[in-house]
Amino acid sequence: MGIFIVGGLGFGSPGRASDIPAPAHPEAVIAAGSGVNLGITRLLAKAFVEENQTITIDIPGSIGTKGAIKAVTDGAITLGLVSRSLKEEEKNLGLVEHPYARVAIIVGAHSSVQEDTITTRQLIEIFKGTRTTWKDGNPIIVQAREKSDSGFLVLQAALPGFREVYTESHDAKRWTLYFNDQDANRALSNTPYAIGVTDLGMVATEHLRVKALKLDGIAPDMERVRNGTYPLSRTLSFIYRPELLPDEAKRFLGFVSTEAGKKILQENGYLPLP
Amino acid sequence: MIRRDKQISISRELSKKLLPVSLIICLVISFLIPGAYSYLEFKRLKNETSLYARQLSDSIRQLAAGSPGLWKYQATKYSEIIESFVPNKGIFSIAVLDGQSNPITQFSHREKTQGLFSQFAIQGEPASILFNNQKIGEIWIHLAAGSFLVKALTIFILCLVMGGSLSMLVYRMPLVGIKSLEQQLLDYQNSLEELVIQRTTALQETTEKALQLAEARRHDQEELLEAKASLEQRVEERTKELQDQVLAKELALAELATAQSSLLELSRAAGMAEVATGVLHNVGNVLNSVNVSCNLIMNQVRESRMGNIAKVAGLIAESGADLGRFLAEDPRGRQIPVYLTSLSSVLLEEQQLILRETEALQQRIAHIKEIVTMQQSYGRVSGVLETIAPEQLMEDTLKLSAGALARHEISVERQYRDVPPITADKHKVLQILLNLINNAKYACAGLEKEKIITLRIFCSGPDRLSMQVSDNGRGIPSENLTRIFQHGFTTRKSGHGFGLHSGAIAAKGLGGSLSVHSDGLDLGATFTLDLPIFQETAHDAR
Repeated sequence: MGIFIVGGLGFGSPGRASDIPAPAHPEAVIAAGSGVNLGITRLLAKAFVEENQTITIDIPGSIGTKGAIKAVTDGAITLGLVSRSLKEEEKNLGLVEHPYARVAIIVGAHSSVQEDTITTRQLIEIFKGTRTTWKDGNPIIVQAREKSDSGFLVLQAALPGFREVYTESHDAKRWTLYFNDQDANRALSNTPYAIGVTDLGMVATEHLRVKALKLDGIAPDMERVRNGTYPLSRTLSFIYRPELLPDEAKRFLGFVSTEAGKKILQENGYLPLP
Repeated sequence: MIRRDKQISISRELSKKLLPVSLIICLVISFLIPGAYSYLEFKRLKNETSLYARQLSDSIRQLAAGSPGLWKYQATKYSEIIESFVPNKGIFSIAVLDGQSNPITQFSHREKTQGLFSQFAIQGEPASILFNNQKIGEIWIHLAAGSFLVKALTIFILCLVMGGSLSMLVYRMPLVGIKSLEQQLLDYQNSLEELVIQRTTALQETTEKALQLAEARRHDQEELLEAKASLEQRVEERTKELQDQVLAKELALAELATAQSSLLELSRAAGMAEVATGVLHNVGNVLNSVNVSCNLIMNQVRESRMGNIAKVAGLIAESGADLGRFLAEDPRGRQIPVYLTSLSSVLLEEQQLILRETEALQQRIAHIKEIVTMQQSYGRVSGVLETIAPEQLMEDTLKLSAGALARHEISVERQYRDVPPITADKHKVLQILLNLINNAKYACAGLEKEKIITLRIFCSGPDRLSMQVSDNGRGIPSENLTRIFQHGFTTRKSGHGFGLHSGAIAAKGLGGSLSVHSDGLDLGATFTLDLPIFQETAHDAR
């Protein structure tokens, strides 16, 4: 009849690198991870490769911070792109963390929205489902992310009362969910009257038609991120296994810290870190 | 017995034919229906499982496409997609495998469910995760089969019970019906035989009874003829007896007429005696007053100071011619003028007293004369019409009865209205009223409360007059009201039962009527004499 007793069926942890496709080029540096980092990393890599023609840097699509940690641990990629600090158990995996920029996380709205600012209370009401229209009467379209998204995690930590509302909205399946940053950014940029969470860097690098709303009257800019006046920000880092880090990759990390690299970062809304 | 054997073999034949039919019904219902349900439901669940796998593979493929070489490192995101996909779909487990069938993400609902069939699951077709027309992984989904198995088992048990019951019914019902019909036929045959025997017996009995009845009727006829002869003889005898009785009755009626006329005379004599007694009593009463007045006058005359005048005259005579000196000088002579003056006033008083008593005496004697005159006038032969005031008639009657009423301490109330004088035989009216007042007096005799007779006179119509005598005495029971004017009816020991009867006849003779009303025993009675006022009416009535 095709009915099975499945008690004996077992699953192990994913196998090690046996199915990883071989690098396209012998010198290629593969950098993969959080979608947050992708745009700026590609700009940095482009500038670096122009100076170092022999080196290839391959940056595939988003696999998330967690995916980056696993892939680096497995040796599947050279550099991992992460948009949050490593947790203790992740640090114990023998990974080195190289933070290089900070960026303001923003509550963004589609350019069609008239409002320039939003309060924490309004944000909570929107996610609770009790505030459904903008001032001009147009509907508010919420573009949400999976629970573990690093941007929403920062909002949950920084804005009192938001965590409960966001968790409840997930349980109620109230919003459309996007499971990577680029999908979410596209949806926010392409949907009139939409609201979502992204950051200043992605708005610049991905050329999004998204307006950064002032939060409780405070505009998100580099200076306010630096002095801590604006509460929402995240740190972008590279992670790697030092014993497996090739020279090409070391040179790329060095380039990011140069004035040229910092300039690229600043031009795209990032605050370079020393 | 032979018939019964034959019937049993018919039932047996039927049972042999019914057995396979009922077995087929049992099998079809018990296995075919649950089997069909299970097959269809299983197929539906399997399709559903495959559909879920395809839906999930689409979601995961979109994420994997961003970095197909590194897609398996996004296990956390797949878990989150699966987590939001699972609820309310009855999913038992999900496995996301890579190209070499190594698991990337797994989800199992097994630990969270408990129940009879919680370990059973249905596996659908795996869905491939394709990139650039190359399979990079696949998704397996198992749906929980517990609920499906419980339903299938329940339906199987229900169908088994239903199939068994139905096949039993199919097998048993016709047999029961046939056997019942057989039994009914047998019973019917037996009852028919019994009926024939009963009817035959009954017919014999009926014939015997008819013979007996004919004999009895002949006997009755003879007896009837005898009875007829005896009856005719008795009718003849009885007719003779009746003729004798009629003759005797006629004789008795003649005697009764004689007795009635003599009784009428007796009554009249009795009435007259009653009037005479009343008159004598009244005269006696007045004579008593006369006697008192006589005694008073005698005493007054006996104690009169008239003799003292003789003494004064003697003194004057002794003085002779010396009267002047005697009156002036003699001490006794000097008192005489003063004495004479006082004596004259005393004598004047005595004279007035005697004069008063003598007038009273004259009045009383006149009263006696009046009573006697009245007796004489009522004692006359009746039949003469006179015009008289009704109050006068009532008062005259009262005077005749006054003595008796006083003796019995009966008070009289008068309620007279202004009425015209009537023209009638005064004597008859008086006789009727006297009788009514006497009856009222007897009705009040022995009462402990105050005894009252009320006399009323009023006009009862444009030319009619009523004279009423009411008492508050013993009253008349309703059954006696219709008999009270009958001849011979009385409730008094010394009564003749004639007074009211003759009164009623007399009233009728006057052109009027005599009627009675009483509310019952101890509630008194009222007798009303209704008379015409005018002479012409009275003459006509006569």
